[in-house]
Amino acid sequence: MIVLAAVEAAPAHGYAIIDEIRRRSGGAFDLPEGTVYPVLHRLEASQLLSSHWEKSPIGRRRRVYALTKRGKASMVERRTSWVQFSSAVNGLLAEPRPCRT
Amino acid sequence: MSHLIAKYLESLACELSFDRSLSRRVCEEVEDHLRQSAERHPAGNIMEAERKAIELFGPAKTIAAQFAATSLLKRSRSVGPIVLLIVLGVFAAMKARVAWYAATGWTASEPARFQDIGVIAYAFDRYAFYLALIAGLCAWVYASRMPSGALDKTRLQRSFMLSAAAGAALIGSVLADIVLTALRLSGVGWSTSHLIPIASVGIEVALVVVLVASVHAVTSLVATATLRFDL
Repeated sequence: MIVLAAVEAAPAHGYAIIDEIRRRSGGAFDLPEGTVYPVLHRLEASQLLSSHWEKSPIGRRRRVYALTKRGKASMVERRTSWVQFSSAVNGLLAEPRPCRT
Repeated sequence: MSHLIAKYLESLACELSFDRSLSRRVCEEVEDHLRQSAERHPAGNIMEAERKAIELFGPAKTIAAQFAATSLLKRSRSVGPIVLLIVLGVFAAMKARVAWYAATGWTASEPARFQDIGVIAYAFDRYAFYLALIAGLCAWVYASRMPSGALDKTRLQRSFMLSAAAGAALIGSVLADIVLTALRLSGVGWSTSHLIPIASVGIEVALVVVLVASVHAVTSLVATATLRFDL
């Protein structure tokens, strides 16, 4: 879900995706950079992402990943589940109030 | 490209050598990443920047192991459709031969002394083919339903067992076809028209060879990679 969310706004290459994850999580998700690529390949194999080669401004070839229709649908579904789950946990972790009798 | 990144890419390519197209693609992606990362690190010198970029990226073997799981799953999933396509190919070759016999009015059958063998071979051919078709279908469905997450060795083994069962049954069916065709042709004198049934049997044999080679290639690849990365 983290990787899909990072690509949701716009297609991006691996390095930019890692940067985006780090930036949007406020540095909380500072993953070992290499671990993102196998995840990108797996998401592509599951047809949640598509990819193509592009030339960088300095002429290097780089693989750019974008969300597919299926990926967008999956993102909507995962976001809904996460909101439900996190609000349930927030409810549990909230400051305990004295029970009304 | 500097020395450290080149060396790292070399070791990554070596770790991924079990899948050459994956290795090429990954190395190109990783090279771009490492160069970009090195360019952005405010290290004192190029060597230090590259060392830092590699350190942040992680060990080549760890990264390769994560790629291996995805690659093996993809390869294993491809075996099911191959098995099924080859079973259908053999069926088409069989049917084409039978249609050719009918179209040319080929009435000759096995010589009388071989008729018992003919009956047994015909029954064996039929049931072995059904078995190959069912096992091929099961292999396809089972492989396509393997979850995309971590590599499940038990599921992988079951999938290969089904493919191997389909392959073995198909070999039996094709052998029975060879016997039946040989018996049919032995009953009449040689003519160039024999080349048609012989060619159709040849196609069946070639398809079986392709099947055995495909299953063998994938199983040895899986064995190599699982041993190498302890998957």
